Amino acid sequence: MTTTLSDFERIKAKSNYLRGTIVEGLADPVTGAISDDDNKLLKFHGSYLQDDRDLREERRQQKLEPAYAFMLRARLPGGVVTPAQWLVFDRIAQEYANGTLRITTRQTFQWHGIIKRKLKPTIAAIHDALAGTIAACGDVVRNVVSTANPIESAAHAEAYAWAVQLSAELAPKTRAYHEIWLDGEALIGEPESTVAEREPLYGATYLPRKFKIGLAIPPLNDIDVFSQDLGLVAIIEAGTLRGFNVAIGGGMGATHGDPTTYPRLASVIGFVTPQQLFAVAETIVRIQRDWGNRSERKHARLKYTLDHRGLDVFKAELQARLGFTLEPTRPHHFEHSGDRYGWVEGHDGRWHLTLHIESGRLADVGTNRWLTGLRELAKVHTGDFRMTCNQNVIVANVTAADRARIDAIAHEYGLDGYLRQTGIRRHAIACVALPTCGLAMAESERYLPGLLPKLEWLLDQHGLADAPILLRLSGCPNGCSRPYLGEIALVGRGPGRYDLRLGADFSGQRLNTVYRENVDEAAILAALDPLFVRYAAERAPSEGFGDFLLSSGLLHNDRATTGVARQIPLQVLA
Amino acid sequence: MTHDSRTLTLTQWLTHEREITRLHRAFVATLAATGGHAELARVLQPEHAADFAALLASDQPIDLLRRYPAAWRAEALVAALRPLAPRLYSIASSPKLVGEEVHLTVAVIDYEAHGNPHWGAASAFLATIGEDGKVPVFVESNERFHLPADSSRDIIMIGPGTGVAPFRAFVQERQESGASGRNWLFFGNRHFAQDFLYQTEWQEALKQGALHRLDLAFSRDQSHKTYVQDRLREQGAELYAWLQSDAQIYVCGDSAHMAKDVHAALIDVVAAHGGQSSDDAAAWLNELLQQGRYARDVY
Repeated sequence: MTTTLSDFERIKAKSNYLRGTIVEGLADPVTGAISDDDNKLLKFHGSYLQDDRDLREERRQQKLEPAYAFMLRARLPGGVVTPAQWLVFDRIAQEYANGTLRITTRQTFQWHGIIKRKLKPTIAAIHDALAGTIAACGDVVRNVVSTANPIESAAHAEAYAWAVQLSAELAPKTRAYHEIWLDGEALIGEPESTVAEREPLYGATYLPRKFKIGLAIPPLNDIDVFSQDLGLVAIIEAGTLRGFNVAIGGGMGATHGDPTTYPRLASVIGFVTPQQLFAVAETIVRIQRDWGNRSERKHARLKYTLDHRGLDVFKAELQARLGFTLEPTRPHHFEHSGDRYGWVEGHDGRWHLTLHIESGRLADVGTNRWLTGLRELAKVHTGDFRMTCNQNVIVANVTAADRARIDAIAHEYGLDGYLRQTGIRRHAIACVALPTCGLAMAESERYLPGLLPKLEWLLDQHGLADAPILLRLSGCPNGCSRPYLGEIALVGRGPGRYDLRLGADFSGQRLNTVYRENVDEAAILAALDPLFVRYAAERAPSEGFGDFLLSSGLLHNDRATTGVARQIPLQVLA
Repeated sequence: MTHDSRTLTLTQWLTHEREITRLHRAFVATLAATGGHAELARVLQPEHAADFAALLASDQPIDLLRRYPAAWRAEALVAALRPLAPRLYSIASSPKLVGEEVHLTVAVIDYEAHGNPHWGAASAFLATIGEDGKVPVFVESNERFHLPADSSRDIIMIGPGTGVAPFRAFVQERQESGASGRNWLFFGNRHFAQDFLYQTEWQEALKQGALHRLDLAFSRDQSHKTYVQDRLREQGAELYAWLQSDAQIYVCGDSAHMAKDVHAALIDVVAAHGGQSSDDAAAWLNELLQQGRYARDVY
């Protein structure tokens, strides 16, 4: 059986290592867009072309093209940002973007609304702040995330260091990024034979699809380690990092109405020492490069490669290529996948303040002047900032003497909501969706502020205002907000309509399942209310909402509990 | 009420018959006399011509009526206002493409001044009349501003703002009639994002080869203001080459500044790339104007 390569593979192959005609497209004054082919390549540089979907019809009638603007995403391994960098990123938001900063579910910043002629100066400004955007999107290893654990500072430092090193090691090596954005000199007249050496890991066509790596330090699973293509669970014994349990093949994306696509939790295949980590990570990436499906992009993630080839076959190939076998998995235990809000003291006497940022959107709206507040914090803060995969920010490494000053700023700008918020509000995540995301089928970030009070009211009726419940909103089934790991999740189907999914656990180790399909808000609230009633009355002490739904028999979650392997169509693997 | 032996209501007179958005000298004089306003009388004197010009530019009749009270009778007011003059617009479409329709490019005049909203008489009328509204129109042909009879000749079109209107018609016409000459458009406006008139049509025309070159100048998108005349100078060598190969050149739009600035830029281009003095370049351009190879429709 033969299948042709996907069009995206053709574009990559003829792109000359991600150059394409991006430079020419940026210079074209007739349009605020770039070509479709170049837009696919641009993702590898950390940017997507988007448009304001609210304005499409109006502008069409005005004979104007859509209001094109670019989303730009930083590559910030481990989500750590210095105050100096923060001030630069904040200035970029105001000067080049739409006046907001967006913390993503992968611990980094996104800017929205950057028009074409400002894209290059924006990337240059990010570069000047000693950060970059290369490979923040695209078919490559993305921003490597790591637990933002502020308490075990030594462990965090070690995990962060690995995230940074993995990120650097696995980043694309093409000079295209420097040439296009930073006026780096093109390597002219290079002989053809050296071309392959430009991407020793990826080759000319990079990976079949995106590849996400995350590193968790138990008992915190704030990065949702089992949603990663490659999840690493740090094993710390007696205060020493012994190595990592390796989990492969996690992924959130799916397509409505296509059962051959599905979210999948990563499978734990063994333990590696720190010395083995790079070789193992790189070899897993290489096998996915060689085996992944390059015909059908929706079957191209590592999770499908594993289910198609078989986990055992993949592991055998991995060990054969490595020349050693993985050690047996070591015990680990996760408590939860959320963030701990407020102040915590680290082992070295430094203090860390986790602030709740709804949907990760830093903007000045009414009395919540969060963008300005974080800017004011950055002006006086002497430690660092850490973004979390739950779209929040930690003001980290604060001396005891500085706490009062930090608190005062947080209070002044409305950043201290974590002190009063309900359990569900503190555990809500929403993707961007409309109006900028081209994939969105329904509202998400803009819907959360309207939905939350209704859920809070229902919960409060049953004495559940403080119950921590993981709520995840997604405008489409692709899963940026990791909706399949929400105890309650809404996955957009169309305007105002969602699949209601229930029954994930509280620590990111069990997927949820569809409870109501393609329903509106009234149906969602009507479906949840009786479940809240039962939960309030019957739950075991400290039993989470998702766990309760299964233990009470209110929900049957066959797929998540049995882990049934799925069949996907055979494909020729290029 | 009756004026000029026609009887209409005051509303009808003001809505359909009188010029109420443009000031003129006779009205100011009548108001100065009727209300006994010394300040108005002053600006009417020849030595204060500059002040009077400024007044004409900044005020509509309603502004003066508010500022300078006077005891008006309806008949006197209607008599003091000029008859409403027709507004002339370039047709922005070719019947070869759009059939019985006529497309216009109208900038709606709508602004605040002296604390009150102001509108353009015709543009606000057209903007609010609705799809089924009826508009009295007539066609006045412009013999000095039309496509070359020889369709193989190249044309250069300079039309910032609503000055682009006839060039949309030209490009439609040349595409529909299969003209072999090349079409080069210079367009400018304030902002790329909002003011790129017919953007999607020009993009399509470029793709189809109906428009061969498009140079753009958006004046307010950067700190340094850029206009079409700057683009003319930048493209001077190519522009001169087109002119040397008998291209027809058209300018349409604002007469107060644009047409003069464009003319000056053309003199520079011809002087620089034709190796001529500015005087010789100007003389040559004047020849082209005489011959109709350089045509202007400015307002």
